[in-house]
Amino acid sequence: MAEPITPLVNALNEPFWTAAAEGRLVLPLCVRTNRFFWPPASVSPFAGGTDVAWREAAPDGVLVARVVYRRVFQQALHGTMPYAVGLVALETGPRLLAHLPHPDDEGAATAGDRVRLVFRSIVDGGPKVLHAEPAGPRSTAPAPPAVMR
Amino acid sequence: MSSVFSRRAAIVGAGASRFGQRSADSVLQFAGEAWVAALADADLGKDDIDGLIVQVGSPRGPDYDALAQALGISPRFCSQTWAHGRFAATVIEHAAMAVGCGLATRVACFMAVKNSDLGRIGEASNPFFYEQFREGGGPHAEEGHIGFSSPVGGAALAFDLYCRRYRQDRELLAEIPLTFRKHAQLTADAQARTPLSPDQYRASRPIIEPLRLHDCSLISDGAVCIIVSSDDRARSSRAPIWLTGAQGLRAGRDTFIFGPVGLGVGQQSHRRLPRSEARAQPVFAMAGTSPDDIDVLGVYDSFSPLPIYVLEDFGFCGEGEGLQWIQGGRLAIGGELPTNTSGGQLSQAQMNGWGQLRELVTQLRGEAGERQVRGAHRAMWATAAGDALILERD
Repeated sequence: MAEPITPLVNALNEPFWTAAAEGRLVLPLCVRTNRFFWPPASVSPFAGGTDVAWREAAPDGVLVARVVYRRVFQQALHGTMPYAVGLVALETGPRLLAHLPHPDDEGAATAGDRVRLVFRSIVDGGPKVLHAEPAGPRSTAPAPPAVMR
Repeated sequence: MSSVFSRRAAIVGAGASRFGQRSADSVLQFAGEAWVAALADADLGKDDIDGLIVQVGSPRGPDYDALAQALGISPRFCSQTWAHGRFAATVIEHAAMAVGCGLATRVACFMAVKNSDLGRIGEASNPFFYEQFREGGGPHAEEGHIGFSSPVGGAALAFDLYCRRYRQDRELLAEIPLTFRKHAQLTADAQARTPLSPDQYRASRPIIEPLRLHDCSLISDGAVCIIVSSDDRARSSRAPIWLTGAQGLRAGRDTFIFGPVGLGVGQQSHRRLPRSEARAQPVFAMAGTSPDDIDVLGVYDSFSPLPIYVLEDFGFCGEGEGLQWIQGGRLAIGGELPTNTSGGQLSQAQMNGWGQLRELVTQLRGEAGERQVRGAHRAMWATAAGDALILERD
């Protein structure tokens, strides 16, 4: 059996993965505070209680940190080396991790860049998972601090 | 300051097995070696022990029931934490609470672990493989479905964010593995005693950038046993090391196991602890002391950036200052704040912090030989995850 790279899908997070397969980003929203949150939970981490709903979220954000895998841990990804993983701060609030293929290529997103989240398969036939791709022109100004103070 | 915890328990014995890669051996052998050494160190017999706490159980370590059977003891108080590290201080705290509340009089606390016969975490041959698909992310923020595998990934991500937030040169980090390697060279049972030069550090292969091989802890098999005694029994022991301050492991949205409070990893806030708050962490208040009066420090260093965060979160230096502050030998034996004086997880052995706890006991007793910190009276253990202990000799 091939080494699995499939996420655990259950009743709690199924809306995310169903939308992902359609290329849409949905996130859990705390209805009482109107704030998106992550990771999925049946209670709101902000207000408590179960008034939580899944809503479409804008996939736009900033890549605030990036790491580059030079060593294989998952054999399923052996053919994709090297790859990067980045932390994306969405304009809507939550921060999500995303896959970044070909980090050594010119034009690859680096920390500080504006990015857009999309859903793609990392390996043929694999599930569609979060990828970050560069969005808009790269700033020529010095890189801003990764985190607003 | 009065406390129901402070000075109510003491460490009266510490021992360890040989460290190394001993893939043909059993974790019960490692635990047995550490047990015999700790009992001898405490001048106790096996029947003097009536409590048992195991930090790492199956599949990497021995579970409490198998261990009690193997040691031929019948403890009346037993407990066990999970199969990763990070609960070293918590185990000692539980032992102190048990003896303080009369559930036991002397508790043997164990870290026994065997890693050399497993793949690295994240690989299919490691028993933790499926944790990277855990709901909400793995124990180190892993998300295997996007390739965010291995604890190295989370440590690398936090360090990348830290360096960007504070505009720091990642090469300043070399001071950590190089200093701890020098300490290991003075430590007879350390696994990595060959000299490590700045050039060798820079040239070591990248694992997950920005971290390299020498930023990652060793692959170790072995065991440490620490015996915690009630105060009345401890007074008659040869060299009690008193638990004068403690605070627990943090969790929640503002905590990341491999980063400081408020760094901005995952869903953390951006609010770092101001230095005034860092210097007033409960562990200092309980012990009635401050960062200025710590003679020797032990920190969790499964990855080399972690000590930086400890120094900032516990007020030894200010937010964002750690990489600069450590330069020039501040953490070296003979420096201002000797840290991980037996080499830590980076160079002594990956005992999930228990090597450092044992070393603090050795230092406070003045038994550290050529690596002895002169006048060591008060020691501290602390991690980036917030747990901490303050230990003092009589």
